[in-house]
Formats: sequence, C-alpha cells, structure tokens
Amino acid sequence: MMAIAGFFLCMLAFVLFGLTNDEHHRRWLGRRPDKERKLRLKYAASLALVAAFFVTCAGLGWVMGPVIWSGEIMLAAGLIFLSFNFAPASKKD
Amino acid sequence: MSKNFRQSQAFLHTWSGLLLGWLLFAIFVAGTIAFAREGLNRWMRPELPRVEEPMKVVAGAQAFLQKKAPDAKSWYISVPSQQSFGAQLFWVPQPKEGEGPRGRRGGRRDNQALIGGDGQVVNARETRGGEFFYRFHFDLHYMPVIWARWLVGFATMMMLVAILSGVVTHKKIFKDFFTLRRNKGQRSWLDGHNATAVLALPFHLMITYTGLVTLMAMLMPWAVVANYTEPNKIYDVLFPQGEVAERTGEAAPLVNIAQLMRDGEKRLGGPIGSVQVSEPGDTAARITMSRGAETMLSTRTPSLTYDGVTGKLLWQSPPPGGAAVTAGVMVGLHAGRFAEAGLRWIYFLCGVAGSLMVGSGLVLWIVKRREKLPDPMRPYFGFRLVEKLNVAVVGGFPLGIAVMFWANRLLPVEMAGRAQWEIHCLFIAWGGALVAALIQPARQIWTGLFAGTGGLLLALPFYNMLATHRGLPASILAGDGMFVAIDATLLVSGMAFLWVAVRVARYTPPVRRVKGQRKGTKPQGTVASVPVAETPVLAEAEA
Repeated sequence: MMAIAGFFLCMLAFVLFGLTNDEHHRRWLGRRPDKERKLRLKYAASLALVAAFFVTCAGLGWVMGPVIWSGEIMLAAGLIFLSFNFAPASKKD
Repeated sequence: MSKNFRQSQAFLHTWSGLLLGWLLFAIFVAGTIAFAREGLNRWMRPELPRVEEPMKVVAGAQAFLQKKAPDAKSWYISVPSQQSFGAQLFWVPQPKEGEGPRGRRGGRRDNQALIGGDGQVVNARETRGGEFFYRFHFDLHYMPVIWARWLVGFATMMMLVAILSGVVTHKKIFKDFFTLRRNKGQRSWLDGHNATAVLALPFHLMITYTGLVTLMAMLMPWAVVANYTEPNKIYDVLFPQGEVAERTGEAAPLVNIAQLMRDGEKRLGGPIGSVQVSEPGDTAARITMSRGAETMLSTRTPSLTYDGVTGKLLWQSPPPGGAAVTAGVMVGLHAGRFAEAGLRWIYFLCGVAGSLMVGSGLVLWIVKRREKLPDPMRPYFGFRLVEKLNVAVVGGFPLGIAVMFWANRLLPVEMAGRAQWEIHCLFIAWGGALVAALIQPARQIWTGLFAGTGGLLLALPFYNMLATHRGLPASILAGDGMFVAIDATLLVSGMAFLWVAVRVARYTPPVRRVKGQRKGTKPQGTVASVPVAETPVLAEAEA
C-alpha cells in the first residue's frame, strides 16, 4: 500500500518536473512558465520525491524501501515521459 | 578546458560504446529476459503441473531419493516455490576406492532428476528453459566459460565507461529530461538514446557496477591472493559450513525433511531455498538447509545443519562479515531474485530500456556519420562494417530468440540432444541474419528481420492456445499470472516489432536533408520504438 502511495508521489514529482520544461508547460498549460514558477515547481517536485522516499521506507523498511523507491522513480519517470510526449494533447508538432 | 574535457568524453563515449556494443546488446537482452528465468523455466515446459504445495514436492523428492540413491554420499534438493517448475535434485554417489572426494565431476548428468508439482518424477521435454538466458548473460555460448567471462567482464567495464562518459557528454541532462523531438532524424535518435539512458540511469549504473562485482574475484583476484595463502580458506570464510561427519556404516532412518524444514524456516526467518543431505541413511547423516534468495536482498543466505537422524540442530552459520554482506547485497541487486512481480516488471522494463539504449547508440553512430559521407553511394569500409553488424546483431539476435522459442514448442520430444538443439536453432537463425545482412542492402534486412521476429513472437501465444493446455484464456481462468504475463509480453513485443517493421518499410528517405521536410508525413510513434523506427535514415544510401 505504502509502495503505491510512494509511486503516486513519484508520478506527481515527475509531472511537476516535466512542467518546468518550457515546451511542455506551454502545451499543457497554455503559456511558458516564468523563472519563479519554474523554481517553485522544482521545489515542489523535489519535495514529492523526498516524501515518496520516506513513505516507501516507512512501509517497506530501510532495506527494501530504498530499493523499491529507486524502482518507483524510474517507472514514474518513464510513464510521465511517455505521457508528456505521446498523449494527444501534445500533438503539436 | 571544460569544452575540451567534454569533447574527450564524447570521444570516449563513442568508442567505448561502439567497440563492444554488439556484445553488450546481446548481454543486455539476455539479462533482461533472464529476469523471467523462473517464468520461462515453466513456460518452456508447459506440460508440467503447477507447484501448489512446495512441501509436497520436497516430500516427493525425499521419497524418490531414498529409493533411487539410499546410500549416496550426498543429496541436493532445490526447494521449489509456487513460481518454480518443480524441484531439481542431484545426488553424489559414494566415491569408489582410490578416487578422490572430487572425482564426481562430469557424472552429474546421470545423477539428477526433476520432481513436479504433484511430488512425482516428471519427464518434461528436454530444455534449458530460462536458464539459457541466465547463463548466456555471463557465460555466452560455444566457448570456454573463462574466456566468456573475461569478455563479458571487459564489455561491462566498457559499459561503465560509456555510461559515465555519456553523462558528461550529455550537455543538458536535466533540462532535456523530458524532451523528445520526433521525426527529426539524427535529433530524434539522440533524444531516444538519451531518454532510454537517463530515465533508467539509476538502473543502468547499478546493473553495470554490480555486474562487475559478480565477476570481481576473477577480474581482480589480488586481494584474495594477498590475504589467503590457501585457496580453500577464502571459501570457508565466505561460505561457512558445519563440520562434516564421517560415515559410520550403521544404518539409521532419515528424519522427514519437509517437517524439519518448518523448524528451519522459523530459525532462518524465511522460506528454505535448498537442502543438502550428507550420508543419508547412516547414523552420521547431516541435513543442511539454506534460506532462499527470494526473500533476502543479499545472496549470501544463512544456513543451518541438523543431525539427520535425531533432527537436532547442530550448527548455525555465523553472521557474515561486512564485506561479504556488501558483496552479497550487490549480487542480490543485480540478479533481482528477491523481486516480486511488481519490482520484477520494473527490472524487466529497465532492461528493455537498456537494450534500446545500446541498440540506439549503435545505430546513432551510423546516423551521425551518414550525413557526413563524402559519397553516400560508396561508404567507407568501417561504416559498412558497423552498419552490417548493427543489422546482424540488433535485428538478428531477437530473431534468434523468437526462433528458439518456436524450437522449444516444435522440436520432437524424443529428439536426442533436444535442449542443445533449441539453442542451436537460435544461433542458426542468428547466423542466417548475419549472412543476409552481409549480402543484402541494410534497409531490406532491417524490415525483414523485424517483421520476422514480430510475426514469430505474435504467433506464439496463439500456438499455445491451440496446441497446449496453457493458452492465454486457460491461464487467465486458472489465475496463473506467470503464463499470462509471458504470453502477454510476447503479444506486445510481437506487435512492437511488426510496427517497427512497417515503419521501416514505409519510410521514404528525403532526397536531400531539408529542415522540416518530413513534417507530418509519418504516423506517431512510441518512445520505445522511435529510435528503431527511424532506422531507414541509415539505409538511404542503398535505397
């Protein structure tokens, strides 16, 4: 259960990270982000990753927790990467 | 300075990646498939019943061994889980007069058996199953193991160099994290290569580094040589064992192993992975059990030794030292034996990403150089060599695997050397791909190989439905997740290969590279396939 919660936090983190990219931000939210907004997105995303780490470790212990967390990060990053680049809304170019 | 450093790293990345890239591709693909080792062990023996109660299998194993080899020197039983295809056993007969204790080598083939889920000896089709991919991953095939391991070790070292230099070379690793420019030729290839590398970077670093650790005693033996004058001493330290008792010659019945295992499981804190019995049927009988690697991160699992007649605990392995645990955890992380379904999928997908990374890197070498060819109709020798090898390996190896899966299904059960012939089929098909790549234009062969691989993979689940009682619907109804997962993976990868083949075939090479020319002329792709799908860029010259 905690692993799934951690995974969703990772997904959230990578959505936020993805939105710091000018192009993706414009496609999904209609305008380019300013510097301050990007910084806030980055902080929020990092926070979500850290939270995911503790949530996962709380559920699975300090041996398996970090291992599963690493897996969660990669899976989430991959899924978000695919959705950002291939979801219909991104059919711009 | 910084620019020069990056340039030098780019050079290093290019050549460390290319020179052993083809070998790395095969290693990576086989390793990825080896994450489904247990699953394939079952999938490649569809006639075997599923293991429902592991203890029943152990009891069957003991009954079989007591009948077959009552006075053996030792028995070895691999304890099955519900994921395994059964329990593999082997026994070592008493050494004959004048024969050393190690005189048993080579005779193991006749001294082994397989106990199925119903506790009976089974005669399944002869196959290496998933073990082939696991072994090929570091032992390769058709060559002495020691050469293979040096080759694999060297390739792994190059991989580590390529990954680290790649990180330095990649200018905007965070800024471009989410960037994928599609249908832009070389740019798309680079983005695809970067995406597969960066998204799974923690995995790539981990798997390469821990891969070296698995071979460390061979690659860097000096620490052992310097600290242990007697070669056997290090094994005693790393793999401690209880004292071996001498055979007394007095017969005594062996305790029930399955029952004793319950005590062992309690003491070791998890399921037992293997049981070894020395001098069964004698008053000096000893039963040693080790915890299974599926429930621990470290592969250095603890063990216990019991008196085989009374069932009294005699010995417990001491807690391993820090270095041994470190190495054990690294090997454990590499092999992922502890990974349950969800994490195993992540391992597998990361492996797929890694295979795509190596494959797209190899193709990128060609794509980059094609644009700069002085005469595209007459590329220089090195260019042609790399291009042909790319086709033969990146296109040919997957075809070989698909053919091997079919051989597993179609070769007659009574065929002599059947297991070996399954593997020969892989290499025959792969060799055929190489020959075809040498004599035909690259583009046609890319299309043919991908289409062939896709068709073969896609057809397999349908064949399973018709010819075995373990088709996809039956597996779903039986709740047999492993068979469902493998058949579904075959379907998906078959479709992916076919889709790539279609894209390669439909590709119309630009007459001259003009910016924006190919805009909107091609169907949308997926990240996994973009690099491959763009392949024909390399084939312009022949087209």
